[in-house]
Amino acid sequence: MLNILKKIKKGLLWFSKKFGYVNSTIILTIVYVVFFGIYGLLKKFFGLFAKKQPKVMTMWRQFETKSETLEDLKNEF
Amino acid sequence: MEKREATGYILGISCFYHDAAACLLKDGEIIAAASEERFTRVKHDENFPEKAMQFCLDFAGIKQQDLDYVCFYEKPILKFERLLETYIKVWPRGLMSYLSAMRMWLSKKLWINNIFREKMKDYKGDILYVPHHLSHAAAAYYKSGFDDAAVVTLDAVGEWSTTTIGRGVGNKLKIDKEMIFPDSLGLFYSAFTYYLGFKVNSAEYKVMGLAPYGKPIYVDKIKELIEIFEDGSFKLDMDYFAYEYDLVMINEKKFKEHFGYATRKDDEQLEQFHKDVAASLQKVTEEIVLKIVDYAHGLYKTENLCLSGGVALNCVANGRIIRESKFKHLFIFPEAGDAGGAVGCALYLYHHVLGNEDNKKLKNVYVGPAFRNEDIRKFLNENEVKYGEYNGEELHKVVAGKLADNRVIGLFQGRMEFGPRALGNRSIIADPRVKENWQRVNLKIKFRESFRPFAPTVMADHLESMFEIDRETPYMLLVAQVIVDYLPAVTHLDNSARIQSVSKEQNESYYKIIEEFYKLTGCPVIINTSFNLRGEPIVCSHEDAFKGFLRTDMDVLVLNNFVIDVTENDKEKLKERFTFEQFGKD
Repeated sequence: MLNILKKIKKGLLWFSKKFGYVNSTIILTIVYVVFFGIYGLLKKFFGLFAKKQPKVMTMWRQFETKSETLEDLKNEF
Repeated sequence: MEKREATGYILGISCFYHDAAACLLKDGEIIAAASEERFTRVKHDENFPEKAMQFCLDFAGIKQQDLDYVCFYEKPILKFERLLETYIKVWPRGLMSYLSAMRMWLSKKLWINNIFREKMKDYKGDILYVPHHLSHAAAAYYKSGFDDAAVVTLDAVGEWSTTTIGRGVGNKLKIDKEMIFPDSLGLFYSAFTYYLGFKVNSAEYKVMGLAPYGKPIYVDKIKELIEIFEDGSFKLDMDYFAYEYDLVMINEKKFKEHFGYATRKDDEQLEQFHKDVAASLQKVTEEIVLKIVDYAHGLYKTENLCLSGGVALNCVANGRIIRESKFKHLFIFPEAGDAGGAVGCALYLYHHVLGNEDNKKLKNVYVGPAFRNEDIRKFLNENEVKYGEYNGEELHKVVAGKLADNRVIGLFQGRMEFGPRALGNRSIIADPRVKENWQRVNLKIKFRESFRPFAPTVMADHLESMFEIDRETPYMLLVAQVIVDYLPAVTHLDNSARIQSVSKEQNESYYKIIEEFYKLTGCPVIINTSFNLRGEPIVCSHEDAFKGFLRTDMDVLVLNNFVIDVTENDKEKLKERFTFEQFGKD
């Protein structure tokens, strides 16, 4: 009896893992296509009207992440 | 809550990308550090380094609640921000990469704080997050012994930064300049590693080893993919690179059109074309690195340079820095890659944030686990292995004698090294005067590509008479020309070698073995390569080492004071007692 229950549990776990994988793929794809898409398209659209950047002569920029104190380091950002 | 006394212990952790590691500082001193892969036997293991952490705590004889602080080597939310912005930028091409990344981030990487709490239930303090490149920079600067230095990090990518320039003065370290994703020298090198059919984030050093076989005839073609400015900064032509939006590194169609060859599959023959591309890539990389360090020198006008990040393991470029740059002194943290971030974040906290000044010189990297003679004896007896037991000088003489008899030896002694190089405690050693040893060790012992060169270890007092180099190189991070003509097994095609110098202070036992070999042969140099098979992490325990001995054509195995000779044992019979892990390609 215990063996059968174990097998059922194993099967359910296998199924839920696969089901979760399919579900997450659908949800993540919708998020990407809809939300990222709208934002991405808007960005590209307004980018067309932006002033053309002059040709750069360096790719160096100032490093700005603040990490001076214990409080700064507590942030994950 | 009752306030407890500070213990001086800081734990640094790196994980969830590749090469997870843990490091324990006691009053700023690295007392224990190790990569997780050595314990789990999974190469480049990225998971939370539970075993490495436990080793560190056990070594110090402390528990989680005794830690003052726990640090993580990057800021995860900033990294997540970079991913989201990138996926918006490349929409809709990034769907597959996005799906793969988001699963990982939503299930694990966004919950790092929770994972730490779960794995470290007895630690009640804060988890502290140090930016990725600051962790790299700190590992190099705070163990350099310099009081004033320019600090350059060259890596693939952290949060946003890919390359940084900063300065350390006293106990303060500040990064001033950065280049950001996607313009990355590390990713640029990795992209070509992929194109040449090698594994990304793993086999970049093979491309460096392949370069001397080729001619740099594709430099101009490569430079069409990267605009290099006078100050060493650069801009990649992202039409050719796919790592922003795809699961592969390059736009294979564009690369094929540009170079005329498709991406090499890992089982395909290496053609002259691949060697020429490797040579050209190496040349372009060196040019960029030299320009960046010159720019850093111009900014700070100091004599000292600290280098860190994965690209700092390019020892050919490092050799050119010491010969051609304006810096007089160079320090590279031996574990310059991501595992070293575990050390760096802890050091940054200890020195910069907490304001401590002491312990600024790296003593050595033998900070991993060691195994007791009693345990090894028990293991050998239980498995009916025939061995000799020797102490002190006698051991050094026996090992040197076998080396001089052209036996290939697995050398396992003392504490394991931290970092990608085996420096005499988890090494395979052989006689460098015998040319055949190059192929023999490559093909029959390590089962790896025949083109890959071997590094020499030289007694520090003989360094300058054997190699064209004016400074010690204890961590095998510099390449120089070989002066003498009797070291064919460690002299690469371009007459260069990646050198480890060893002094009595750094590793007495290893030094004495070479000294005895020198007395017997007049040669103060031996071959030193890491003790592992292809695709396998370097051995950690005596059992790992013994299994390696059984699986290969190695003649002799030294486990601390015990010498096991293949001629006295039946390897096939011994093999029946063990199960062997299967390792993938490296």
